[in-house]
Order: sequence, then structure tokens, then C-alpha cells
Amino acid sequence: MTAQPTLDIVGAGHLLRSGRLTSLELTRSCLDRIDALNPQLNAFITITRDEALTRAKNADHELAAGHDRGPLHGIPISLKDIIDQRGVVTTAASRARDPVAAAADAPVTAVLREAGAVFVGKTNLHEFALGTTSDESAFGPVRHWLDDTRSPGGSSGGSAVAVATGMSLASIGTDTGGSIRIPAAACGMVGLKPGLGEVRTDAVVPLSRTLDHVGPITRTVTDAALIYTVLTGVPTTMDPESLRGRRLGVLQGYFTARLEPAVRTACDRAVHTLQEAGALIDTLEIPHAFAIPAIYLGILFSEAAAYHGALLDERGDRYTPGVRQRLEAARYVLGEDYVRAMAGRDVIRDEVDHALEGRHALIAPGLVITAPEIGAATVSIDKISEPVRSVMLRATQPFNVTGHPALVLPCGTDARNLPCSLQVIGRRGATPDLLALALGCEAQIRGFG
Amino acid sequence: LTIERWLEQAVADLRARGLEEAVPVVEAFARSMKVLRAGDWNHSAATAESPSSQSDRA
Repeated sequence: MTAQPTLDIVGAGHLLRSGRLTSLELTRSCLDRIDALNPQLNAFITITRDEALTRAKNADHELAAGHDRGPLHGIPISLKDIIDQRGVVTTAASRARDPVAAAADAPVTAVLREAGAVFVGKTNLHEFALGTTSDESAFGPVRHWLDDTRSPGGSSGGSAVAVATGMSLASIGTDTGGSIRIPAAACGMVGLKPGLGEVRTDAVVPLSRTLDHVGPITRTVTDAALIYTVLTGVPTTMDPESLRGRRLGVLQGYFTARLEPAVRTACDRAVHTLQEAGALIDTLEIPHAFAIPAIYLGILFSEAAAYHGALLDERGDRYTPGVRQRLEAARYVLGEDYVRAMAGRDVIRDEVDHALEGRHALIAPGLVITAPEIGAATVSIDKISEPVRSVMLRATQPFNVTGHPALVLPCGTDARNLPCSLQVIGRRGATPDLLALALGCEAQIRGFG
Repeated sequence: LTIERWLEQAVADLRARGLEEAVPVVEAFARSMKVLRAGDWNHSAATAESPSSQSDRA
């Protein structure tokens, strides 16, 4: 049978274990979709067809022999092409890197391999993950699956498009300022940024050593929870949590001062729905939120410059122009300003911790606009023009600065049928609680369409 | 180093290296520097108040 593009990991698992679908059929279905859609959408840089088919056959043989590796057994998954996969070149969407195949799996890849995942390919991204639109890639722009004149967000844009179109059932991305959550939000998918340090980032091309996170993009919260558990070994519930009596703080001010009207409407409706389901809603602000972009940039620039400096000197002309410009500018940040940014980070983290005292989670938009046009440098909200990058980072970067776990899930569409998204932020060290709550939110919010 | 002097030097260096296109990025970062330096979380060596961390004291 041919897998439907709406098939998720849980659904595929049922079909695999009931004998109504084989991993080989499922994998071939994903590869067929890649063949059909990738020339237009450019979601993949490398397609690992032979390895995928071999692993799928092995997965089927193991299941037939009674060896079940768990929920990812035989499931086609893609990896953002910034994560090492043994025997495959990690390009980071750049011509500046040496095209040498990775000698070993990154720990995150190895864990997925052990869990029986079938790797179908490496997905396209914003070069070196330094951008939110996935249009500055040495391999060409990723295009939105619903409108190919628009960006799917980034930097993990190829991953979100792959999942949205059924080219893979899930994808592993990275998130330094929102690079999992932004494309997931723009494409109507679920994106989970776990807490800082929960998922290992070894053998993942770094952007910012203290802001980088690794996590999944999936069709459902349940699938995100399954992958989180595989990646961390931490158990999670699969049952939606009742929202009755759950205290949710809706973030205002910095987070909602300038929202695209359709996003505001969708998020307001979603919050109202959660309230009707029994959640206790209040509103609050993060006092120093105005400083978050400066704090984020001070940290990001310093840490990215430290990693890229030598390569910029040697092969700066091989970077895409916009990424090169930002990295070159980053090299001028002074040590004293990096320290100020790190001190400001402590303040923001404490304020978010304080906001979560007495509340089960915080709520914010996932992305304050819907998918922008490819190549747009600015976007106008309330007649104020701002850089697209700044706008797209606004709601997500705070939780890279603080390290809190955060998840986006779709909550409606704009007039062009482009997805809007809600973000749920949990307590540090309590990602399973966030996922349980998000399951409850998803059960209520789904259906807006 | 004042922000103005820093910006002047960074722009001059970028131009000397043929990276004129990166000038708007450092100009934008100069605005971030103003926010960082004005942060009420910063400690001044002129005051009695000192940072809580002692890790960098000799």
C-alpha cells in the first residue's frame, strides 16, 4: 500500500506491526515522494536511497523475527544536513566545508540508528544554520510546500517541508534561535526544542555552543514525544493531559506587541479554546524581554565567530554572501560585550523561571508572521517595517537564551491558508511535563484547519 | 572603547578588507551594544556592589 502524506509515526507503527505495511513499502513511498517533490521544493541535499532500502529490509526482517526496536523501528526519518551520519558528507548547506564523508554517526544519529530508524536523506537548510528563511543555501532555496514562492522558515526548512509532504515521517533539526520551531510553525508542523543540554550536540556543526539545541520536527505532539524519549531515554506519556485547572500564563508585551493580524486572531482563538477546556489563563510580561534580541545577538555572534573565523579567512568567498556578511560582522564583538550578554542571559532566565512559578506553562505565538516570500528582506507589521530575520526570531529566541523547553503546534491559518502556530514553554528540567500538557493542548486546538 | 569608536574602527576595517556589504550588520550590532551596555544587570567597578560570581577573581 502507499503511505498517505498524513501518516504519522504512531499510525505507521500500527500498520507495520499489524502486517498491513512493511518498512520497505513505507520507505519506498517516502523515496517516491522525494523523487516527485524535491525538484520543486529542494528540501533534500542528499538522498540516501540505498542505505534506506537496506535498513528498511532489515527492519522488516527483524520485526518478522520478533525483534522490535520500539516506536521508530522501520520509520523513515530525515536528518538536517548539519548532523553527522556515518558515510555521508555533512554539507551544512555550504560550499566552504570540505566534502568529506563523516567517519561516524553523531550521538543523536547513533541513537536513532539503534532505535531502528531508516535514514532517507539529509535535508537542506539555511547555510550553517545562520538564518531563518532557508534561502541562503549553497544548494538553492528551500520552498514552502503550500506556496513555492514562499519560505518554509529556517534554518531547518528542508526538515519541515520533508515532514509536511511525507518525504519523511519526522526529521531531526537544530534550534539556536528558533530553527526547529520557526520552520515547524511556518509549515504547520510540530517542533520541539528540548531543554538546553538534554540532547547531545556532538558531531553537529555548531552555530553557537551555548545556544544550540537538537530536536524533532513531526506531524504530531505524540510523535515529538516518541522521538524525545528515544533521544534522551526519558519516558513521556502518550495520553493527552486534561487541561482542567492547568495554569497557563499568556506572554504579552515583547511577544505580542507586533503580530500579523491573522496570527493574533489564531493565537487568541487557541487560548480561548484552552480556557474553555478548563485551563486557568492569565497574562504576564517578562520585564527585561526588550533586551532579548541584543543579548541573543551578543552571544550568537561571539560564539559563531569563534567557530568560523579561520574558515572565513581561508575561504570566505565560498560562503553565501549574506551569511558571510553576518559572520564577518560577528568577528568585531568585544569580549566585554559578550560578558554583558551572558550576564543579561542570567536575568532573562531567572525572569522566565519566576514566570513559571505557580504556572504549568507559558503560552506565546510560535512565529509572529506567516511564511514570508522567498528573498524578502523586510516585513511590515502595523505599518512598521522590520528585517524578516528579526521578526521571525522574536518569539522563539528567548528560550534559546534561557534554555527552557518549548514546543510549537499549529493553531490555524491565514487567508492564504498559510499556517499559524502557538508556542508552549515549560519549566527547565521538565520537558516530559511540557509534552504531556502539549498533548492536551493539541487535542483541543486541532481542527481549526 | 566607546560604541562610536568601535563602530568607526569596525567599519574602516571591513572596508579595508573589501567587505563593505557587512557594514549595515555592524551598524545594527552597534544598536544592540547600546542595549547591552545600558543593561541594569551590569556591575560598575566604580560602585561598592560587586558581581555574585567570584570565579574570575585573582
